Amino acid sequence: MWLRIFVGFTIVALISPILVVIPMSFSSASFFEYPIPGYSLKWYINFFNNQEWVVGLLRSLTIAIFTAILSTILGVMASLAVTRLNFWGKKLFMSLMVAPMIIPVIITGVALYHSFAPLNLTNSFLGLILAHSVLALPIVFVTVTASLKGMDRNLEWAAMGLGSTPIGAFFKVTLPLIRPGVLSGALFAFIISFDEVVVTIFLGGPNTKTLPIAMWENLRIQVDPTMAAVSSILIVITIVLFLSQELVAVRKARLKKKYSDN
Amino acid sequence: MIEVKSESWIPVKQVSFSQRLARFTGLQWLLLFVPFGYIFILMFFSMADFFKLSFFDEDGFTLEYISHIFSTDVYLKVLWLTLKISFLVTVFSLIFAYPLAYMLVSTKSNLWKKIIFSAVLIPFWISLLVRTFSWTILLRKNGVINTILLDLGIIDHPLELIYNTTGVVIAMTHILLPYMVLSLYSVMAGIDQRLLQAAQGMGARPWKAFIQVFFPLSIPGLLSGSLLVFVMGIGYFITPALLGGTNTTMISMLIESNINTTLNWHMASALALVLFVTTLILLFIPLLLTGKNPVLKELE
Repeated sequence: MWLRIFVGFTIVALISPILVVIPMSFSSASFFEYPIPGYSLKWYINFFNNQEWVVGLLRSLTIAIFTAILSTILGVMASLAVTRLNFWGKKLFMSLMVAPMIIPVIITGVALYHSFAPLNLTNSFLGLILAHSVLALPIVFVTVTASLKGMDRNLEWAAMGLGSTPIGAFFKVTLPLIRPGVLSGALFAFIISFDEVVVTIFLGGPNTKTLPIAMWENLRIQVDPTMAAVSSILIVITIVLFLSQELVAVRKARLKKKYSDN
Repeated sequence: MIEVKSESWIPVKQVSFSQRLARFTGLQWLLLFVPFGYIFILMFFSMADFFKLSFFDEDGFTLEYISHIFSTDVYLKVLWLTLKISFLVTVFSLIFAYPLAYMLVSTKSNLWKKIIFSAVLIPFWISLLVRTFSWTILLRKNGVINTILLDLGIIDHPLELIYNTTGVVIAMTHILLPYMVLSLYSVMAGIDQRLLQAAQGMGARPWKAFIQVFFPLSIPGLLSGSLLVFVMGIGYFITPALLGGTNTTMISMLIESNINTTLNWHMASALALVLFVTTLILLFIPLLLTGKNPVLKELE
């Protein structure tokens, strides 16, 4: 009984700090007053009228899409290498692939800044996409490797036995089977890039001011209530993405069940 | 007139692109070398190049920067505070995460399971900046928590909850808790629940069965979760930078200010090296104890 009360409390403590922003974003006050004096949509109007926010959002989306593509390609390649090839130092290779997840982001950020600056890759989209892909690759690698390990390799052998090339077998047999894993890996990569601040603080510049950087500067200098509107929009988008990811997972489970039933 | 077919060239045999590629042997090694090269050049080459700055300056090899960190009070204070905050965050997230994870494995109701999983995973995917911003609204002097406590008459003066260690610890616990829950859950899910039933069947009280049977079996998860949270804690930047005050500088903030404000790259490099070596040592402890890499656990 006590356990339930404590767990209930923890759940409320986990969720409520996030939900508290949503009513604040509809407040008519210029400061985050509580209780809320009146309701208005002015902070949302502010958001869509302010070039800095809207352009930042578009930039973030562009960078996140390219990061998702690049890191998914690299991540799938690394997963295939680990599950399909035999080579010395496989464990070391795997540790290397997940290292960016564990090494403090600030170190990655500063180190990349140090080597990108002489190459003119700072303040550029390419630089940010390359850097974000480093951070997103591990999660794709982990997700895709897990789905490749769960897959029946006999199907691939069968395809090759029937005359398919390894590449053909991958695209026609393997990829459709591991698609849910690849898709969720790509989604994770997208979210990581879309939310990335630390590396972008160093590598970004006026031409690449993404949404998180605009938010970061806003929080650091003066907190503008538009921030509450931005946050609410992001919260809603994340919950929608989370639910769609859940749907993918449910479909994956159903596919697996169908497959094992046959 | 007889119409002449414009297409005079007819392929004898259609050779697909993938078949043509298959003629090259050893092509599969690209799968290994492309991602390896990418991470190696961008991550490790950059890092090595950057860490070189902590030992070499215009005058050649020097240990001045590294020794400066361990001999200056200001830097030592920052190191101590970084460890203290990470330790507190680890302890608090363990206190809150353990019952959650236990509930996840022990409950039979699917609804509870779904609720707990969503409560843990939804905040996990919500933007870090949004979560930190929410805590500034909640913890401010005239913020939500202080207003509610004052209205209820529990306190007379607003509590100092933000721009100090308290605020940083509260927000970081909230942010790092999911990692702890997932680590604990992955170990607890493998514990045979029948062991508990057996203990109770032999006359142990539920509490005793938990302490003597379940808890010892969950220790690997407890250790790997604590280690993960602690390691992530010492390198944290965003939350302490926004919620900490002038007296709550953590090592990552010092690295940032050395680069962006004082432009002292050598000092920044030395600090980053200290952080990096600490992280590596902490990650090597379980590798030495159990012979398993905690990071790769789920892929084994």
